Amino acid sequence: MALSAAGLSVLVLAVTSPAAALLSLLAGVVLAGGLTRGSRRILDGAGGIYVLALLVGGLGDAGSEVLLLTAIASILAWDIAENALSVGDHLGRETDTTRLEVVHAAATLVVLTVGAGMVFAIGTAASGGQPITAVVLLLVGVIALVAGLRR
Amino acid sequence: MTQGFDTERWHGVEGLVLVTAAAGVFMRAPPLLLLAGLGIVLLGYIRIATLDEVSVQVERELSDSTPDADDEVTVTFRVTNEGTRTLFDLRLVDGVPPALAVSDGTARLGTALRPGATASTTYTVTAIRGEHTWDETVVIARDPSGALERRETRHTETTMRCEPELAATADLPLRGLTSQYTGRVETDVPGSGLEFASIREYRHGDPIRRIDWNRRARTGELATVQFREERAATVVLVVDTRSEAHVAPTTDAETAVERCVDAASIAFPALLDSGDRVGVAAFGPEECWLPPSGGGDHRARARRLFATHSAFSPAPSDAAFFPSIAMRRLRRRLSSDAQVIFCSPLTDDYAVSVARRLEAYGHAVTVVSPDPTSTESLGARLARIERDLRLRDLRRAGVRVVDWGDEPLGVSLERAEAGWSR
Repeated sequence: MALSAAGLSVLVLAVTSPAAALLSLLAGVVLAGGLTRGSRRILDGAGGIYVLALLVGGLGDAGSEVLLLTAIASILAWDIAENALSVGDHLGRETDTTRLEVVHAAATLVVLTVGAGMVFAIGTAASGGQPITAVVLLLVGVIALVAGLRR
Repeated sequence: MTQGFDTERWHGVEGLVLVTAAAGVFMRAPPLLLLAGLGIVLLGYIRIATLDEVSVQVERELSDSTPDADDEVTVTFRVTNEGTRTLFDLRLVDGVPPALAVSDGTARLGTALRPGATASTTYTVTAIRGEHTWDETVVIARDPSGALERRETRHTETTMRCEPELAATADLPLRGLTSQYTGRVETDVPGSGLEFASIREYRHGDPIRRIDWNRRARTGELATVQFREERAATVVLVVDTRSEAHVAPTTDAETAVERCVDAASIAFPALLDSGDRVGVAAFGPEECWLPPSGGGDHRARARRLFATHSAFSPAPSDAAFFPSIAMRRLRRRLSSDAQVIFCSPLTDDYAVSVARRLEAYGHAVTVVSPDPTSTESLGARLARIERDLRLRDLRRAGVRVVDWGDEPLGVSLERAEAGWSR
């Protein structure tokens, strides 16, 4: 369960813009609270604050790399925390579930890292000043595509 | 392909991605667009999740499948992935029999398994009397992102049987109601025996050994000495197994039913050894009846009965219980010369009425009552007082009562005996 603490600290370090760092610190505290209380709702609240922190960071002067790293850390922290809660529900506190949780965290981390790398590469390659409508349409199209993927 | 169900853990991510993208577009912040891009990758990862049928095999191994009571039994719990895909997130909860308590380790396992790989865990249970069958194992599998979940059960037949030896550690004194066979219960019937009873006039056919020769020498009259005849009794041990009797002073203490069965299994061999015919009955939702008899076979039968009969299981039964029918059935089964030893914690008035009714029908009743009350709270103290009143009620009605506290049964018997009249 304490695994997520690592995610939190990484995140706090990764944020450079002060307002966003403050917000994500708050999110980290809320997350820890949610974990000790075992409440999924508090965890979701922490997730919301993370998103807010990312938005603030993005609108401020945080660079793309920092923002993506922060996003990876935030999502990872929330994911590990939520997974820890569900494992705790199913298996209790005494059971040794390190392997399970590490595998889960590793899978998420790999996907996020690869994804962030891809996005960053596309971002730097395509930062040639396309019209904003094109970007919007592209985004909407991709979201529709992903949403339409079969479950 | 069948799918697992949605765990709903990623719900709302789509919305957050759209919000981020919109913010990026309208505020002209390229980093936010990248962020939205990352969100889309995440969404894709969640969306492509699939979860096939989980094919795992569960095995269980006991260090001893026929342990003695209170032995520690180590259970090795093994799971093997027999499918062709890696199971990233596998959680298993073993179905430990309800009556057994896990004393060390946990009966749960969480792991990730490659095809063909095996994971195992061990835990320890404390054996208690009875036949314990393991329930199904619950298998929960999730895809790597945790978006889909699948629950299944696996059944592996495992049974542990614990039959304690019947040991007569305390002698239970019986009351005067006896059968016509010779035994050790002293009756007021004059005849042959050990303890002097009376002298009466000689009648033709009296054995020469019992003629009072001193009197003959003194007075010249023939007289016959009579002794108190010692006879065997027929005893039926009735154990209160109603759900009301499944009570214990603390959560991890032995329940009153357990102690009642203990008392019965102490009394059984003691009575059998002294030549009495002993039977066993359960007064509860599960029906159990062992007719009074004697001999080695009977002892073995009783041993198995106490250990494995579902009526005496340490966990309460779910079956419906109709007290008046059970009472009628019990009465029909008791022969008229049968004494009853009723083992009950006396936690409600019905138990008292059972004892009083049996006494009224002419079966000399002795109640052995393990004390399940405590003094921890006000309610518990009230329950203790109520039980004390019930005991007093029974004693007043002429029923012998052994109030069995924490001490060994023999000690309680000794104390109770001091207060009994012959």
